[in-house]
Parts: sequence; structure tokens; C-alpha cells
Amino acid sequence: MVGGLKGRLSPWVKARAFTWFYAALLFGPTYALLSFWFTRGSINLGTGYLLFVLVPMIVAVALAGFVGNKNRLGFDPRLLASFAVFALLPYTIYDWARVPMNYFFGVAFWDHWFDWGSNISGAPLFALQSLSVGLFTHVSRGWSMAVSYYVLVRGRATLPTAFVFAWAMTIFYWIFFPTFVLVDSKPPFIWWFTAWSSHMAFALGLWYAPRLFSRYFSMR
Amino acid sequence: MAYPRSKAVLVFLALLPVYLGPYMYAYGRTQSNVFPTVETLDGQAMDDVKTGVDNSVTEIVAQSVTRTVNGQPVTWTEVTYTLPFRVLNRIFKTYINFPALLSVSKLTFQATGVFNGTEILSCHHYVDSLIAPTGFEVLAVFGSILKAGNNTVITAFCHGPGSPTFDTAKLSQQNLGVVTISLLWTIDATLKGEKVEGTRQWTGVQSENLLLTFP
Repeated sequence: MVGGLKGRLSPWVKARAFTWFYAALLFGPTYALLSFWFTRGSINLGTGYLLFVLVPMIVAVALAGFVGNKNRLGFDPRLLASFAVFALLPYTIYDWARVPMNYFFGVAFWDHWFDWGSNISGAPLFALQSLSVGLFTHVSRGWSMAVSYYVLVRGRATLPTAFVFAWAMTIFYWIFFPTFVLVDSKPPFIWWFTAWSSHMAFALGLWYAPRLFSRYFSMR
Repeated sequence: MAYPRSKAVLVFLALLPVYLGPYMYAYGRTQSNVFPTVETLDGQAMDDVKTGVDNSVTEIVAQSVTRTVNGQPVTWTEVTYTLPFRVLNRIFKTYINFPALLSVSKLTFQATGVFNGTEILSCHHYVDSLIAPTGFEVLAVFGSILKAGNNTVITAFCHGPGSPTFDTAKLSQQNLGVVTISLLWTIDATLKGEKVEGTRQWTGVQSENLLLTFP
């Protein structure tokens, strides 16, 4: 019975293992943040980026060139380039969704950017340098999540898969921020709502970006 | 249908405001709202910090000291006192309405005790920094650090001459162990909120009970 299930699962997993691995490599900025959180700041976020972003990215770039039978895997370097452009839109829409939450309810969605930027740069907490570096980490995380999604779905974004991905991100956000970010330890309702609604906007961005851009890219 | 590359570039450029919009908003709100609010709250927090000195100086030990002056042994006593002082009300609310502890460093306490026009003791105490959370604690630990650090009492050691210049034993006998003196004190510290850093000085003159050893 188990052997039969394993036998059926094995080709299914094998066919997708490389794609999952590749998507996992591109998820690096999130690993960097997790390493910073899990060690309670003992691993500087900048160090986390070197270890968990730069190294996986080098592996990903090398793999993109070396991988054989690209058609079977469903993507090639040119397709990856289009994913990189698609991925610019979803996190922007995610942040647009948070703008009214700040304007009407005062939820400062960029408050952690100061913490992250200050931790990496050593600049004072409330300085534009900290904000800028923190913004970079935020953008890199959003972009990498979107690229990973496009790799997972091989560029064929659909609303159901986009929403599943965004729900997973929301749950991740709901668990990890209150656990590891002190100021989010006891967030008010509007915080939970903002986290959810902005990730749903991210899902719409994931779905819409290929439709907007694909006519400008040769997908095959 | 394949579109020309020039059109792709145009579309990308047209999308620039969409890409940059939320971040321009964040920078704009930071300059117009976050920084001024943080600076105001920091300033208020610094103004709200109170300091004070206990109204009792307690003699803890009188030590006999002998030195040779011009070939002759000279003996006198040196008295050590304790004087608690305090830094209060360090908790403040940040711009996201989260409690924080105002950073207090380079804390210097100096005081002079005067009895009948004579300086009988002087105090100097330095603390590099008061307890502060790192920001990586869990909420319960953070809360306990905040509570512990909100009001701090520090015991300073003061020193002064004993007999024959100032005979504490005799005075204690005459006054049942308590003598009223005048105390002039100064506390200096560097305070830092989330953004603003500055030095503050508090001074005071007060009547002080000098608690002498009474048999």
C-alpha cells in the first residue's frame, strides 16, 4: 500500500523537484529575515542577506544556465527574465493596498523598514538611510516571493493559485510577525486586516502582471 | 501578437508612478509626519523624566586614617555615607503607540552636604547607562524590563571628614543620631528617545537628615 503510494508519488515529485528547489532558491530574502528573527538579531540582517540571498542566487543563476531539457522543466533563462519583470508589480500593488490603511487608520506600514535598515547599515533608527535600506529588503522580499510563485506555476498564473500563495503568505505573516517582532506582539484588529487585505492585493498582482506584460515578452 | 520593444519600454515607464507611488508616499509621510511626531514624543519623554534625591544621608562607616606629615604621624577619620538618588518616569509611548524606555546614559550625580557653613560631605557617582531592552525580547520579558527600568534608585557613596574636623560621634550624641544639613545636588545625563538625543541637568538644594551612627 505504502509502496504503491510511494511509487505513484515518486514520479510526481521527481517531475517537480527541480522547480520546487529552484523556487526555494529564489526565496532567499525571506530566509535572511528568518535567520535574523530566529537568532533574535544575533545574525545581522546584512549577514543574513549574504548567506541566504547571495549564495542561493549564485546557485540559481548557475543552474539557469546549466540545466538541461529546459522545455521539460517548463522554463528557461529567458522565461526567468520575464518572471523577474512580472514580479515587479505584485509587491507594488501589495504596498498600494497598505497606503489607505495608513492614511485612514494610521497603520505605518513602513515602520519595520527602519529597524531592518538600521540593523544592516548601522545608521540611526529614524534616518532616511535606514528607511532606504529597509525598503530595499522589503522590496527584495516581495519581488523574490513573486518570482518564486511564477517559477512554481511556470508563468501560468491563475487566480486560485495566486490566492493560495497569498493566503500562505498571510498566515506566515500572521504567525511570524507577532512571534518575532516585539511591536507586533499584540496587534490590533486593523493590523490583521491590513496584513490580509494587502496580501490579497498581492495575489491580484500575481495574477494580473503576466496578463499585462506577456504581450511584450516572447514566452516561448 | 508581438509588440515592439519601444512600446514595452513606454509601458514600463508609464508604470513607474505605480511602482514608486507607495514608496514616495512612505518617504513623504516619514518626513511630514513620522519624524516630527517622533521628535515631539522624544522631547516630551525627556521633559517627563524626573529625578530626585532621598532626604536622608546615612553614615555607614568611619575609618581611621594615619599619615605621616613632616615626620609626625597624624591621625584623623574619614566618614563614608550613602545617599540614594532616583531617575523616574522613563517609559514613554512611541509614534506607533508602543511603550518604550527612554535611554539614560552617562549619568553623573554630584552633591555637597553643608553643616553650619562647613562642607562635611561630597558625593560623586557615575553610571554608564541604565537598564534598557534590546528590542528582541519576547513581550513578557520586554514588559518586565520596562517596569524595572521605569523608576531607578541608585545608591551613591559620599565621603567626608570625620573627627577632629567633624566629630560625628559627638554630634550623634548631642542630636540623638540625626543632624539636619543642607544638600546641593546635580544630576547630569544623556537622554535618548527613538530619534532625539540630548543632555539634561537637574539641580536641587534641600534640607537633608544626616543619620549618624547612634549607639
